[in-house]
Amino acid sequence: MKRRNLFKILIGMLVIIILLWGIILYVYLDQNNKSDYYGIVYEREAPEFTLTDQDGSKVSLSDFKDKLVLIFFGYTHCPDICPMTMSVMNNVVDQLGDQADQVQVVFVTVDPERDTQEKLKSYVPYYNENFIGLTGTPEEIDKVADDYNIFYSKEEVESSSEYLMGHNSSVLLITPDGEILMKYPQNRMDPASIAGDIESIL
Amino acid sequence: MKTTLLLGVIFFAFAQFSSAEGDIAINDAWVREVPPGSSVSAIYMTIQSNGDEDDKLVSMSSKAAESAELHTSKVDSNGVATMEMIEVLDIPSNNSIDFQPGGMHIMLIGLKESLVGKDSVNLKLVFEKAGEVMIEVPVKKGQEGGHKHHH
Ligand SMILES: [Cu+2]
Repeated sequence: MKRRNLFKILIGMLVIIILLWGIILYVYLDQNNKSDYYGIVYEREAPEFTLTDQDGSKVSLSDFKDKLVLIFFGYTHCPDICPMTMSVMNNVVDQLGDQADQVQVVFVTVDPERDTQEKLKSYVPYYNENFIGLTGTPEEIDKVADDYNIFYSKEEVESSSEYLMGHNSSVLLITPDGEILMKYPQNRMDPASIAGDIESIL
Repeated sequence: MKTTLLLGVIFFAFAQFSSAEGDIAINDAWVREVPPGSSVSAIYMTIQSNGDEDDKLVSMSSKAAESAELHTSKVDSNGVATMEMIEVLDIPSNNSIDFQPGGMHIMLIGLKESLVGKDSVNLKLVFEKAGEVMIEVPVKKGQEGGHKHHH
């Protein structure tokens, strides 16, 4: 008789333990998945930088304190990936409507040798007149790219073009409080989804 | 006689939309409008092979640029984008090959004039068996709105 009761108690405890375990696991997984964002959550402090824009003015990240910044590293002698990305950014801004003025798109060249201030002036505003293009000395660009973990290199290829660049082609999203919250690699370039992320942040 | 005429008209109507040169047809070609002052751009299209023989795309040129090369864009797992040149492209029989943004493209290097405001550029493709195919490629703005990658 007593044995039977003990058995019942043990089964009861086992059920409770399994239930608790399930709840803990659920809460844990839920936290890990807290982002319903389209972008890849990155969460790193955005390093400060100062470079030169297409009009020759010095521009720092801290100039955009109240804005959300979409920053992309590329080069103008790029016929495919960079124009695609610029078009996507323009599309994102279009979809934001009134909120667009809370967003700053920044293009940083990784090819300062060819991408002078004048070159950026004819390139960047073509996609959107509010976009900012940044260049600098090779050393300055090197430092910023390094701070942002952006790999780039000159590719000497058997091509008629002088040279091509390999470069990290992800767009980084910096929140108004200066955090690189997300990355958008080339396989996550759907403008509506990126705009959706921005709307939920702003 | 009437049937032949009708077929002729139908054929002519289709010829307006695709340039069919024997066993090779080039469809949906467009060249990306790029900002003024740009020296490079990319042409996208679909090469359709209707023949029973394999062919090869061996060279290309355009009057709009100093040179034209076949490239493919690649993005590695770290997000680094590069372009590779393809010397010769195999065109398997009864098959179609897509050139699209983020993938294969014909890169125009050394644009002779701005594409802004231009209607089209000319393109000559040279196939090993089908020979030369000449097309006019319309200039279009990139509409990167939710195009799908086919990887
Ligand atoms: Cu290319």
